[in-house]
Amino acid sequence: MNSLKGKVALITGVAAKRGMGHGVALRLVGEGANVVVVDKYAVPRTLFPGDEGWGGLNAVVAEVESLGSKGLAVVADISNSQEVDAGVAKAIEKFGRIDILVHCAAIRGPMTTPLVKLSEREWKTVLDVNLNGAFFISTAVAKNMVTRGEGGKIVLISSLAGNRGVPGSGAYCVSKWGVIGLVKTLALELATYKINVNALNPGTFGTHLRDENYVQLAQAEGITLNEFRERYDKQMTTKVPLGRMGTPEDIANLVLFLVSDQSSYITGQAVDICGGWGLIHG
Amino acid sequence: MNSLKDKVAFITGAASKRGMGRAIALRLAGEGADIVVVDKFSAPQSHFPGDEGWGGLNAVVAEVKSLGKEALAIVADTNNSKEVETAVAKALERFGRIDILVHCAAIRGPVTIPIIDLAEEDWRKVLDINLTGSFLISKAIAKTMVTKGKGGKIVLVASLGGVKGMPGSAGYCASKFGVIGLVKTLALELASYKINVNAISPGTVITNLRDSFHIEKGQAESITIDEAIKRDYQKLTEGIPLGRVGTTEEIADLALFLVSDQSKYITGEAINITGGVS
Repeated sequence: MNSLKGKVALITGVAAKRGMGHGVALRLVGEGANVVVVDKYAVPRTLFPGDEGWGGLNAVVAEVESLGSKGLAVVADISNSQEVDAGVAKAIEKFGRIDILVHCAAIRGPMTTPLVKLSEREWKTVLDVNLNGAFFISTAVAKNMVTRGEGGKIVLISSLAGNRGVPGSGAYCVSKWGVIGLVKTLALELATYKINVNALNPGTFGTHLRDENYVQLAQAEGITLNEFRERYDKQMTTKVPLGRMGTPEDIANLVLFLVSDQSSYITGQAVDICGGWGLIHG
Repeated sequence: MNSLKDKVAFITGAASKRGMGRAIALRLAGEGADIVVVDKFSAPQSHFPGDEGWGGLNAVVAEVKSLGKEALAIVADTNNSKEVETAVAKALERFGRIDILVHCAAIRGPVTIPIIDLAEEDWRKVLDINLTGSFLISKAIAKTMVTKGKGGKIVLVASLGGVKGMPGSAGYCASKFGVIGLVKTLALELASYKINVNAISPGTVITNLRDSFHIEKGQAESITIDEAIKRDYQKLTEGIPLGRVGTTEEIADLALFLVSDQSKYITGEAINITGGVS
C-alpha cells in the first residue's frame, strides 16, 4: 500500500489518457510515490473518440494530487538532450531526488513499410525518439542517482519487437532491440551503484500508440476509424493465447514490482508481458 | 497482505530448512494461502552446520500454522507418477482445490564432470528428477485446474543454467533448458483455461542445493564445510554485478508476484533473478 512512500518517480510519456505512462503514474502514486510526469505535449492531439477534453499532463497532476501525492508536470521532448537535462533539473529542483525512472515515451512509426522502402527520414525519426530518447533520459537520471549514491530503479519500455523481427516495422523493431541493449549495458555499468535497470516487452496493448497508424490505414481502406479499430483489435485479440489485449494496468503492476524492494536481485532483464503472444510469433 | 486469501498452494521441495520451497511456502502463507508442502524426504538428512534438529516438512507445517493458515505435509517423489497422483489426490481431499503450483524440487547433479566423462546413469538421474519430475507434477496439477475451470498459476523453478551453457553440469543444464521448454509449451496449451505458467531462473542463491558439492570439496581440499562454502561463494560473487549471492526470500518475492493477480498478463516467461548475470 505504501511501498513507495518517500520515493520520487520520474515517468515519461504520461500525457495520453489511454497510455501506459498514465497508468504507471497512478499506480506508483497509489503506493505513496511523488511523481514528475513528462511528455513532449502538455496536451496530446485528440485523434480518437473519447479523448476529447482530456487535459493531458495537468489532468494527471490533478489526479495525483487527489490521491494525496505531489506531482510536477514537465513538457520536454526526450529526443532533445537539452530539454531532457532541463527537465531532470526541474525535477531535482522540486523534489531534491529521483529514485525511480519509468520511461514510456515512444512512437510506433511505420507498421506496413518494408525496410527496402523505408525512407531515411522515417528511420531517423523513430530511432531518434525511441532509442536516442531512451539513452538521453536514462543517462541523465542515472547520473543523478550515481551522484546521490542511494541506488535507484530504472525501467524502460521496450516491446516484443525488441527480441524478434517485425516485418513492416523495421525502424520500431530496431529501436526496441536497441532499448534492450541499453538496459543490459546500463544494468552492468550501474550495478555497483545498486541501481537496477530492467525492461518490459509489451505485446499488443490497447493504448494510443497506434492511433495515427489506425487513422492512416482506415483512410487508405476507405472505412471509418471505428470500423478499422474494431476489426484490427479483434484480429489481434484472437491471436493472443490469453484472449485479450493488454491494459496499462497490466503494465503498471509489473512496473511496480520492478521498482519496488521486491525485485532487488533482478537487473538487466527484459520481461515479456504479452498474454503469451510472444510464444507464438517470431 | 492478503492477496492470496482463499487460495491453495502446492509447493514441492519444501522440506529443507535453507531451501526455496520453504521460503516460498512461508511467503505465500503470509499472503493468506493455505499450503500443501511436498518433498521426497519428510525430514532431509543434512550434515550442514545449523541444520541439526530441523524437523523437515512437519516443521514447515508448524510454521505455516503459526501464521494462521492451514497446511498439509505430503511425502512424495515427484519423479514417480503414482506418488504424484496420490499426493495430488490427498491435496484435493484436504482442500478441495489447487490454485497454485510452485515446483522447486530438483537436484544439482555433477558440477565438474564434462559431458565426455559423464556416465549415462548420472545423466539419467538428473534428467529424471529435474525434467520428468517437472512434467509429472505439472501435468497432474494442471489437469485438476482444467477440470475445476477457475484458472490457476504454475511456477517452475528453472535456473540460469536453463538459458546458458554450464561446463561440468551438462545434465543439470539440459534439464533446466527442458523445464523452460515445458513452461513455454504448457503456457500455450493452458492459456485458454486462464492458467498462467512461468519459470523463475535463479543465479547463485544460498540454499541446500549444492550441499554435496561443498561437502566433497571440503573433503577433497581438507578444509571445513564452512570454509568450502565461503570460498565457493566468494568465487561466484566475483562474477555477479550486484556483488552478492541471492537469498531464498528474494526468490519467494518473485514467486509471489508470479502467482498473484498482478501478473495475469504474463505467461510462458522465464524470469532471470541473478543479480545481473546474463
